[in-house]
Amino acid sequence: MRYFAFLLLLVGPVACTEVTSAPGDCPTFCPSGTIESKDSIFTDIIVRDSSYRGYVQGYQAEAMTAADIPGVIDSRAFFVTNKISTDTTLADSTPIPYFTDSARLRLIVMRRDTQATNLRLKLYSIPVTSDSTSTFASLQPYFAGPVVDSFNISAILALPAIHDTAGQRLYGDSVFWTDSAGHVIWTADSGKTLNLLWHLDSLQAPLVPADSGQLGFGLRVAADSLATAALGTLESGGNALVTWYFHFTKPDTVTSTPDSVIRQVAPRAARFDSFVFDRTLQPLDSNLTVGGVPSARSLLRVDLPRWMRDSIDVVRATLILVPVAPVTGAPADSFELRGLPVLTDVGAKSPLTGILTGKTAIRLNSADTVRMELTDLVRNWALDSTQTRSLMLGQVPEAASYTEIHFYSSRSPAFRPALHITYVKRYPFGIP
Amino acid sequence: MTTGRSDGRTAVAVVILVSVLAARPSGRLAAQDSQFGIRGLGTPGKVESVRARSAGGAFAPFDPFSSLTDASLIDVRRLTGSITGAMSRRTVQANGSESPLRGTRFPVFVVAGPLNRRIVIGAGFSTYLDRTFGIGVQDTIDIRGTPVPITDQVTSDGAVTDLRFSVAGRVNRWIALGGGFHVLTGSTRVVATRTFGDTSYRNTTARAQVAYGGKAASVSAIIDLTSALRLSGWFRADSKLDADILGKPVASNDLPNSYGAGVQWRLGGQLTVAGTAAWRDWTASAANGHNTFNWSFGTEIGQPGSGLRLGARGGQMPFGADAQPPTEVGLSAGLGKQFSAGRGRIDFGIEHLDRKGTGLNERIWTFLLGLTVRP
Repeated sequence: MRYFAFLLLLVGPVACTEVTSAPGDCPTFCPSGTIESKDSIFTDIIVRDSSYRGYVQGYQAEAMTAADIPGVIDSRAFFVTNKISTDTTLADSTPIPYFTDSARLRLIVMRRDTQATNLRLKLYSIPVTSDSTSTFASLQPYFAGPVVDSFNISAILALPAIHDTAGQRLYGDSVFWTDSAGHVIWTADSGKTLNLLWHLDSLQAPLVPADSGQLGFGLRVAADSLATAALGTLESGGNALVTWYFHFTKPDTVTSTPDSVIRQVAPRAARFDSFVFDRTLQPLDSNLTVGGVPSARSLLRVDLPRWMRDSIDVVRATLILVPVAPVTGAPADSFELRGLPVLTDVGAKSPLTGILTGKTAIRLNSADTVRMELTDLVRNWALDSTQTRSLMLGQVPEAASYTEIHFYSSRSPAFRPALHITYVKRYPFGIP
Repeated sequence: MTTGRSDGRTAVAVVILVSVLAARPSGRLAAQDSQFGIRGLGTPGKVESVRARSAGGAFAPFDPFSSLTDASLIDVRRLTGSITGAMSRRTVQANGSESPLRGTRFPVFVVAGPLNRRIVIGAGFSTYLDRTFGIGVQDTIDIRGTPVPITDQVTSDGAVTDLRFSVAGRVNRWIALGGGFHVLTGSTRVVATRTFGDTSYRNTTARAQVAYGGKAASVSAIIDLTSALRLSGWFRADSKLDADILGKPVASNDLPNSYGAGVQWRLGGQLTVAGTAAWRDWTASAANGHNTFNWSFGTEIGQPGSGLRLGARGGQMPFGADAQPPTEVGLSAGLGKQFSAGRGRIDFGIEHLDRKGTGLNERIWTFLLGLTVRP
């Protein structure tokens, strides 16, 4: 009997493992109920859609775009640097003026068209009083003036890249390029972002006491074609930076060393940066507008049918938007269109959430229908009836370029926004 | 055969083991499943104890610890409990491929005791319909004008269990009658999953617990024509099987009436033979239901209850793909051993079944383990 018991103890745990699944020979030897997928385009599900403008101003953007596409856009960036003392006082309180030796200007090119040839950035002097009220027209005379300096990005990048001990001390592991004029490009990310260093002499970067040492510069871009470049701003941390190299002389009265020369270095970041372009801001109309400067957003409200909320499982949902016209510009200025869920629908100022978002790329010069995947968001709406079923469409980054897209709204029955939903019907449990 | 050397510790060990094995969710109180039952109501359970099943099921009408007849309880002289365990390995052949499956089930439990010299009452459970299966299907469907590969998986875990309350009474020296009331209960946990090969689509899973309910009544009789020859007959009528999810009815299916007869012949003190035949009408239960006839023949060599058992069975399965029902043929053998001065008995058995139908064959090996205890 003990042997029997021992045998039982051995076989018991082994036998209790289960394998019950096998490939099905359907429909003959499968349950009569099947998992059924359906697919529908709901053309009347987007309702009460509206556009609003004024969320982000150009000077609040993460980038400032300089572009020159003849007949399409002329966009120019500009910035004004912070103040710097133009003299110093020693023991006898007599002001001792600073004398500029040179200045180094750093600019960060965040985006450019890598297919562009002979891509140049041209530096112009503009008034230090330039601010958010400056317009394309008001700055035009200064851009029509002499060029302070020109930086040929394509030509310098065509030179051999340098990665030596001296460069490593200055630029770390980055490779860099330089020309005889003292222009330097260095990059830490395989060329996606370019750091430009301009060498300016005291005439190009004068230290003017009347301007409190501020500098105002405008930037135009030029190329054989596809001339566009997005420059970093204060908001992105990639702002323009001027490093002053200057000296002053200590008089004999305050030092035992006659006329000793003191040399100093002082960096000054941009105080204000923005961009202007020659396109007139159009008022909002019955269509849906996204992008532009100041930025516009569009609020879409979704009237999800009741049956969709409790009897299906959404497996894919795609928002379909028909553009009124292609967005014209340089292909490199293509942007991301993002759909952000609305936490509470109070119109233009509805609070948004960054989870369950949808996004898609808007290709410039393309009239294709825009599709944005919203599967997770619509699944959430279908599962939780307390959710606000609204969506705000916005541009990423906002107000950073001249680009703006217009979609047909629900007021245009033939081209109104739609939701393409693929869903699985409730499985018929319990039916043999 | 000696039983005197068995001691209480062994019995305790065996009881603990079986108790542990038995402490499983009710959904696993099921018999051998079959792919043939997926499209129907399920696979009817085998309501036989290990002793009866090792002999092909032929002794079931006369075995008090099989749930087939109520009149057989009349042979229980003391309060006794019995449980059956079955560990099966099943090979499914379909579409030119083979799939090995395995499972552990506890298909029968009976406890019975005499109320007085003429009346015995009993209760217990057995598997009425097994609904444990898993099906995987790979296909390509056209969505949004593009072929998308999918994998569908439907799993069902559970069974319809027959709770039996029965009584047997001896009318006179040669005839005993029995009757029973049956409550059909149980549930299945069903999970249906569709997995898309294209990650643009979210996988979907639906779950539900389907509860089943029904009632049945049974009557049976055992006639002792001589001290060696016994006859048995039975009839059982079942109501509809109602299925609901969270209290909402989803299906109601007719259940069959069943009847059968058996004969047992004791040839001296060391050899007993028996045979049974049973009929069930499943045609009203499902669109692919059939009338079934099942037979069995078996023998027990040695003392009744403690000998070597051999048996064969055959018949039909209730649900199939064709106009002809699938068939089932099986061979079985087993041994019994008493211990603790006859207060306990452990039974072993092994059974091989061949099921054949249009488009599907199944081969099943089942190891049977039974424990009967008289406290």
